Amino acid sequence: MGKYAIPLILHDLGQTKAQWFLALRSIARESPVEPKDRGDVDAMTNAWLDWGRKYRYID
Amino acid sequence: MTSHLSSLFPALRDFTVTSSQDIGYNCVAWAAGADTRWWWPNADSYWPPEVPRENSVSAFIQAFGTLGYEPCGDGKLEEGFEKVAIYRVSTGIGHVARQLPTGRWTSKIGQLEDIEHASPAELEGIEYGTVVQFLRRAIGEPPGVSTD
Repeated sequence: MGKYAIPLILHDLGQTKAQWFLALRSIARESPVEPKDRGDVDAMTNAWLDWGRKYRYID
Repeated sequence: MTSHLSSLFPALRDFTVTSSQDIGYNCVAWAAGADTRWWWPNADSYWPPEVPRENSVSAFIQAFGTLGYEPCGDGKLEEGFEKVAIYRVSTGIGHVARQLPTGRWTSKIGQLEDIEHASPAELEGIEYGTVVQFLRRAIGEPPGVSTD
C-alpha cells in the first residue's frame, strides 16, 4: 500500500488525531516534526498535515 | 460509564475517574507531572534528552531521575516524599503511576481518562504487567515537577 495510504492516514489524523505518527514516518521515510514538538499531539498533527499539503497528498 | 476500565483491569475496584478522555498525554507524562504531551522513549514522543531512548526499566529510572526521583523499596506513603511505580510487561514498560499526598495513586489510562486508585496493584494484570520498581523524591526537591 505504501504511499497510496498517506492521504487516507492524513485524513484520519486530521479528524481524530490518532497516533499515526509511526506509520507516517515509516511510509514517508522522513518526519516534518521538529524535535522540540515531539510528543505534542497538536503540533505533530499540524506538522504532518502541512507536510501533506506541501507534497499534495491532501488539499 | 467506567465499565471499560473494569474490563481492562479486573483488579480495579476502589477508584474514581478524575478527568475526561484526552489523547494529548500519556501515563508517563502524567506521572512526571505533565499533561501537554506524550513521554515515551520513541521518536514521536518527548523524552529527557540526556536519557537513552530505550524501553527499559533502567531508562525509565534515568528519565524520572532527571526529575529528582531515585529507587526505593516500596509504594508505602512516606511523609515528605512522593513516589512513582513503574510497571513492566513482557515487551517492555507497561505503565507508570504516581502517588498522591493522600497515599492513593493517580494514573492516566492510555488515551482514556485519569483515575485515582487505591493502590498500584489494582492496575496489575495483562494490560500493564506488574510493578517492578518504585521511585521516590523529596516533595519540593529541585528540579520539581515538570511542566512540559
